[in-house]
Amino acid sequence: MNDDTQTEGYDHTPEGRELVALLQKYAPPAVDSRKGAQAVMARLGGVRPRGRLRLLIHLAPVAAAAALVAVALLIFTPPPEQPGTPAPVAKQDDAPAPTHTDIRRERGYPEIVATVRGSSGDGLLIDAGAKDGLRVGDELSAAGGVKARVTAVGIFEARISADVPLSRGAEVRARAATEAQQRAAGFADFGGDPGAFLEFGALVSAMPLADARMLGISDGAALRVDETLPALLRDPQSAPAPTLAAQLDLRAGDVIIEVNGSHVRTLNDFGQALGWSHDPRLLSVRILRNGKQLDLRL
Amino acid sequence: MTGAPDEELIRLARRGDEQAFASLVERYYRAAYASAYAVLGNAGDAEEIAQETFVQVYEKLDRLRDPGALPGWIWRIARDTALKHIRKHKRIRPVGDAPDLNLDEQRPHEPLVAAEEKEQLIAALGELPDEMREAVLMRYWEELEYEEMAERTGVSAAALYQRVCRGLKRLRETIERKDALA
Repeated sequence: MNDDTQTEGYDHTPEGRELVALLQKYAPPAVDSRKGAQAVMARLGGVRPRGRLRLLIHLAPVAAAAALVAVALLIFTPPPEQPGTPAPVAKQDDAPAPTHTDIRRERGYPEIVATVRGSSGDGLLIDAGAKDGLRVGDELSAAGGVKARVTAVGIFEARISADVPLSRGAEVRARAATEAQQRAAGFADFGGDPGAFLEFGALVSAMPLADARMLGISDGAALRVDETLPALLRDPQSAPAPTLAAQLDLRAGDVIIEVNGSHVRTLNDFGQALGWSHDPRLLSVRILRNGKQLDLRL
Repeated sequence: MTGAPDEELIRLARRGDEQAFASLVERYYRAAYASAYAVLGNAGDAEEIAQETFVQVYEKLDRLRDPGALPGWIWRIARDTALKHIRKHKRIRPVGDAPDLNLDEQRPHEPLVAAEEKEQLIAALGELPDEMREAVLMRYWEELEYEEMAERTGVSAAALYQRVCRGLKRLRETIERKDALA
């Protein structure tokens, strides 16, 4: 008897069923394949031509620039080198391939370390974003004392403006100094922030029991909005798009009671109520703001 | 275009058809995500790896000789990318996925137990041979029927059922062995 026949039907044995239940219990949370596909296409910047065609497209502007330079050299004497601050443009050089964001703890102090992936609009794209606690206006530093500032954030990526050109593959760092960065760093070891509903555009947390009861929430379970993100970078080359939370005018300090008519007590409730496939035009959120109940709709 | 066979979508994507490639991504996104999650045990990172996987798939699409091998190829790229991610981030390997753990329900011991249990399962999945892990996860994480799995992999439904049963048994043995050593 071979191993196959010995194991046939194992999924229906008590041991097998127990394992199946364990696998189902720890199955990955639902994911929206359509949104995933949109994110991939955004990362690709639309479908890029591949192989020789891409090489030619990359070489074409280089060849054109070289020709222009040659013509200019024939006409003008080259001017002396002037110090300046040209706009940051990512160079397609031999820099390392794009890598993943890191939250490191050096000497016990968390630090966000990201990599420049290329150009983005009028700035540079780095592989750290809102999930790492980066927000618009955050300051970053690179080797040689170069300073940069976040000008737009996506969930996984951000656009920065640097005071001197940075190459693709260059590292930029932020000492987790802001509240959002510290929150992200604090959850980095635990699989991410459970209250960060970034796709929706809000960070929430469970309210302390006593606070909820003081607001008249009888079972003492409610969620408070800690932060809303006004807009997210969905496409590296476009302007950031307003989040649903911002469109609803959800604000920090609001207490969430219901989403789409469903009572929301926990972070899991909130995630499920938001759902992945809801029609955003029908989204409604009942909140308490300054003691008053409000219904927010798009 | 979403119903077109892989072969047709691959042919169109190679010619630069954006919609065709997006359809392929949508079809196999959950597979890449599940494959990465089986390594990382973390939804946020798994989704990032799933996206990175398809960037690589696009870059290497010309190298794929057999369109029928696409699903397995995506699984392997997602897994390898996730493993590279772990090697790079050894110090921050997650042990639990907070949204599953009800951290907000004020039962301090339960999340730790659940995190250990989950870490044990993820580690045991990591020790399964690739084809067994792929079959087990397609069945129980992607919730595909055996006929759908057969269509995707080109392996018979009966053979896939055997792989799932053997995979489950191997998982049980691995978890028990680790328990005994603990």
